[in-house]
Order: sequence, then C-alpha cells, then structure tokens
Amino acid sequence: MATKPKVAFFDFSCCEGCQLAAIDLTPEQLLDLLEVIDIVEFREAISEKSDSYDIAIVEGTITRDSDIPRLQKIRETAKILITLGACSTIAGINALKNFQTKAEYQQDVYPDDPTKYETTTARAVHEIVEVDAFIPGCPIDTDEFVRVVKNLVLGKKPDIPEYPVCVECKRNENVCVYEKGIQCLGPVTRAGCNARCPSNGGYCFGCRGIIPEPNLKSQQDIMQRYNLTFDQMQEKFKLFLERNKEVFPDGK
Amino acid sequence: MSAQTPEFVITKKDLLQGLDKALADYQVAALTKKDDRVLYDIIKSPTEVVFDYQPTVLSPKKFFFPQDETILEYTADGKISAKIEAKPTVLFGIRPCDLNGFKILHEAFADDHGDPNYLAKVEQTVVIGIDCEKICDKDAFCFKVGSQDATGGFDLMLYEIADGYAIEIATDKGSQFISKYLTTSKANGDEITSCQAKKAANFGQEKPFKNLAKLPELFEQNKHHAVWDQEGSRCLSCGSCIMVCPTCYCFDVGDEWQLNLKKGERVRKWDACMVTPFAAVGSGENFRHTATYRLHHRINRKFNFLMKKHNQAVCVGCGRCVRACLADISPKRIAEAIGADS
Ligand code: SF4
Ligand code: SF4
Ligand code: SF4
Ligand code: SF4
Repeated sequence: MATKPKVAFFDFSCCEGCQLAAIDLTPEQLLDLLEVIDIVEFREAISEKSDSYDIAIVEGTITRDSDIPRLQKIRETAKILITLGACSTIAGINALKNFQTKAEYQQDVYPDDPTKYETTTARAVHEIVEVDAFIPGCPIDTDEFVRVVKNLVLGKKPDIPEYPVCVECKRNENVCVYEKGIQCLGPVTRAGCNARCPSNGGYCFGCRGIIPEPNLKSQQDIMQRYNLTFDQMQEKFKLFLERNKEVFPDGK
Repeated sequence: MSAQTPEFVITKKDLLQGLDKALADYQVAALTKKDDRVLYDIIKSPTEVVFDYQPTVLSPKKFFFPQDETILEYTADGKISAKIEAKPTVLFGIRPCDLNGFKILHEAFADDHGDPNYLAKVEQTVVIGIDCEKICDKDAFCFKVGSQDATGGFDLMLYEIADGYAIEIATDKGSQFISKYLTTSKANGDEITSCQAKKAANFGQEKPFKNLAKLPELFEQNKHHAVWDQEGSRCLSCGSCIMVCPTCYCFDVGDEWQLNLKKGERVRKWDACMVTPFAAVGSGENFRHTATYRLHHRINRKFNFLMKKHNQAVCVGCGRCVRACLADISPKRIAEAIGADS
C-alpha cells in the first residue's frame, strides 16, 4: 500500500458502544488493521485530533441543531463518510423520543429545567449529509466492520447484505421463534449480524434496519396471525424504525 | 417400486455396536438432539442417535455442500492453491426424500461439471438410509412427487423389522462397510416386501399427482395463472425456503482477504433465488424484480425446467419449505392449482 488512508472516528448522540465493538479485535488483528489504515482521531482509544482525514466514520444520532455544522464540516473534509451503528445509520433508539412532542420529552428527561439543554428531532446522518457506506447494527458486528474497511482499502463495494436475517437464521439451523409463539422482525430486517439474536435465544427487533423492498404487509399479516394486535406490533417496530417512512409514514 | 431382496438382517443392538466401531475410523452424522432442536449432526456416541424421525430444519445436503466452503487459498504475491476438505464420514439414517435429494445434488455437482470439493466428500462418505414406514408429518408430500421410496443416493438402506433392520446393499462401499463393521445374519428374502406392504397400508390413499409426468407441460401452460400472484404477493423474499431445501444448489462465490491483505480465501456460500438481490446485475437491473417472478422461477425449477433435465420432479416433497414459510406458501398447493391432480 503506497499511502495508508487516514481514518477518523466521530461520535454524536450515542453510547459509543459501536466504536468499542469496532476495535474488539485480537491484538494481532488490531496491528493488522493499523497496517492498512492510519487512525488519526478516535476518542475511545487515542487522544490525537486531526483536521485531515480520508475516511470519516461517524457514530451517533443527530439530536441537536448545533450538531449539523459539525457534521457538515466532517463531510466536507472526508473523501468517504461511513456511518457506524444503528444510531447514525437509522437514528436508532434515540429516535424513540420522536414519538413524543418536544415539550413531552424535555419534561420527561429534565423535569426540573426542561429547556436547559438543546435538543430536537432525532435524525440519521444521511438525512443531513450524503453517506457513502452504512455499517448498521446495535451494536455493529465487528467482522462486518473489518470487512467494510478491507473492501474500502481494496476499492471494493462495502458488501452489506440486502437480504433479510431469516437467511442467516436458517443457515444456522435455528428453529424459527414464531414456532415458539415469539414474534420476530427477521423477515424484513437486513442481515449481516449472522442472525445474532434469534441464534442466541432472542428474536430480531430490527436493529439493522429494513431491507430494500420489504413486504411489510405480509410481515404484519404474519404477526397478526401469531396473535399480535396492531398496537403490539407497532411497539416492536418502534424501537429502531421510527425514521423509516415505509413503517411509520406519518413520522416526524 | 419393485421389491428388493435383502441379503442380511441386523439387530438394533448390533447396528448400534457397528456404528460405535465405525466411530474409530469415521465421523458419524445422524439425526440427533441439540438444545431444543432435532437435526442431522456429528455424534460422539451411537446413544445420541434419534431413531424416531422428525423433520429437520436443514436437509443433510449440508454435509456434501456446506453453507460456507473455502475452495481456494491465495497470497498477495500470487500463490494460488485449491482447498478441498473431506473426511471419512458416515451419514446415518437419511430418509427417502433426502436420498432422492442426494441423487439430484449428485447429478448437478458430479455429472455435469465434476465439482472437486463435492466429489471428494462423496468419495469419503458412506450413506446409510432408513426407509419411512409412515408419513412424517402433515406438511410432507413425498408421495405426491414419487419420492417416498429411495431410488438411489445411498450405499446401504435399512428397513425396519421386528427387533432390527433388513439391509439392502446398493454399492461395494456399502458391502465393505458391512463386512468391516456390522454383525449381521442371513435374511429370509421377503423382509423388504413385507415392509413395503406395511408402508403401503400406512400411506393409504396418498398417491402421486395424477399428472406427475405432465408437470413440465402444465407449468409451461400456466405461466400466467392467478396462483402466482396469489402466493407471490404474500412472499417475504426471506429466502428460508431455499436454505432448507435439499435440492436447491445455487451458490455465490466471494473473496475474503485477511485483514493484513497478505492472504485470502475464495469462499462459496449458499445463495437464494428468492431474495430480492439475487438476479440484480451490475448495471442496476433486476431480472426477477418481484417476489411473484422469483416464486415462479423457483417452482418452475422444481417442476418444469430441471424436471426435464433430471427426469424426475426436483422437489422431493420433504415439506421443509412449507414448514419454514411464514407466509404459508407451498409448492404442492401451486402444483395443485395448475391441475397436477385434476
Ligand atoms: S426466528 Fe426470525 S429471523 Fe429466524 S427464521 Fe424466524 S422470523 Fe426469520
Ligand atoms: S438479529 Fe436483528 S436485532 Fe439482533 S443484531 Fe441482528 S438485526 Fe439486530
Ligand atoms: S421445494 Fe420444498 S418440499 Fe420440495 S424439496 Fe425443496 S424444501 Fe422440500
Ligand atoms: S420462505 Fe416463503 S416467504 Fe420466504 S422466500 Fe420462501 S416463499 Fe417467500
């Protein structure tokens, strides 16, 4: 590699868990990673600050108007901008507050001084600036992060699956949770996590966002066939999918 | 099916002992329990074998054609080597639908192209089938497509008799396995015939589609039948039906470099013609851009296009896709809608 791409990590509203997941590597892998990229800014692991980078990896939801110029500056500086995790990719659980009015969530969170902190509708990064690649998930899948980095260094597409979680779930030979009377968003949720939740005793709650061209009508029919009322079903979709206009057409 | 003459019978106890002996030289895969699942998996002791058949999520094709398989290894400075992995394996207790599935898999991977990774596994595998005395569940329809009896795909076939099994030998590999591992006694010769009589009584009125042989024609004539949209509009394009099918054999091939970009592997993975991006091409077109087109394609593979090639229905009626489909889509219902049985 002639010159290593300079990579900077930035975070907005989030738990920074995806940054930690990104470097949840063996020491050997970490050294290998640093051989192919040069990390110039990374609050979770190093203290350098840089104004010059090729790839910006952005974590977190945009929840304040003052976030916008900062994000725009990052976009202008970076050649490639990648979102990291559900919060930046689809606004994640931070967008739950969008189901309330601003006055309601301000009152809920800071009852003593509701207007003390700046806040507004939670939005995904692509709603503000152009995004070149998305790494979805809550948290991200470390292997997928590594694959996206490798592919970008090799000049290939990031290679994020466009098929649903059921594919991976079946490959793992799981008994479908619907057979146990548990509902699952796997049939409409983007794969790539190796069906992490249904393979470990849970069900998919859609953290990686919806696949392109989901059959939401059929998904709803199935959930209702398995005795879920419309409201209960909406609750399942709410956790991660408030920004999805197909799921919540009259959202903010 | 014409009656076979068994040469040997074996008690269940001797069979289990034989498997135990074989464990010294082979990995043995059989129907077994793991957590809350019944599946084909590698066993450590014959006591783990489940004899009472319950349909599994995945078919045993995974032992010949695994979900992921490295086929090449290479280095950045240009060294390339084929990677072929195969171990001596016994597949024990495979049922007729899946054995017929093996035949189709074999015609696809061995006869036309001679896939070395597949062939290496087949060469080292001894397949021991067990006949089904009764229909395994309400979703199975092997009897509709002529797959309730195994017509190949095995080395040895077992038929249940009082206190044991009658053994049909199909290959030299099978007879060698008997002489090396199994303590048997001479058969009377009529055991399989009586098993088949019992089976016929259990299957009762469940007969093949009246127009089984004419299915390719019927599917050709019914390209625009309303059933396609009725079923296709419910389809989630989730790919489950493909993953579980014993006769779906499409795969995708990708390169996976190590993080240091010094070495890499070429890996093939199961692919699924029912998922939206399957037929999308680089320029952005998708040749099968609706679930209805994709369903039409998949079911025609089973009962039309490939049925002509393999001279048998390429759906073996195992019912796995029916059980897996949350939208309740069934190849049997589609075949019936276009007149398979009328
Ligand atoms: S458990 Fe969920 S992801 Fe798995 S097959 Fe069922 S619906 Fe799909
Ligand atoms: S299974 Fe669903 S909720 Fe769980 S990690 Fe995968 S996409 Fe997220
Ligand atoms: S199409 Fe369905 S029923 Fe037919 S062989 Fe495949 S999984 Fe079994
Ligand atoms: S399992 Fe059912 S819903 Fe899923 S792709 Fe197959 S036919 Fe469609």
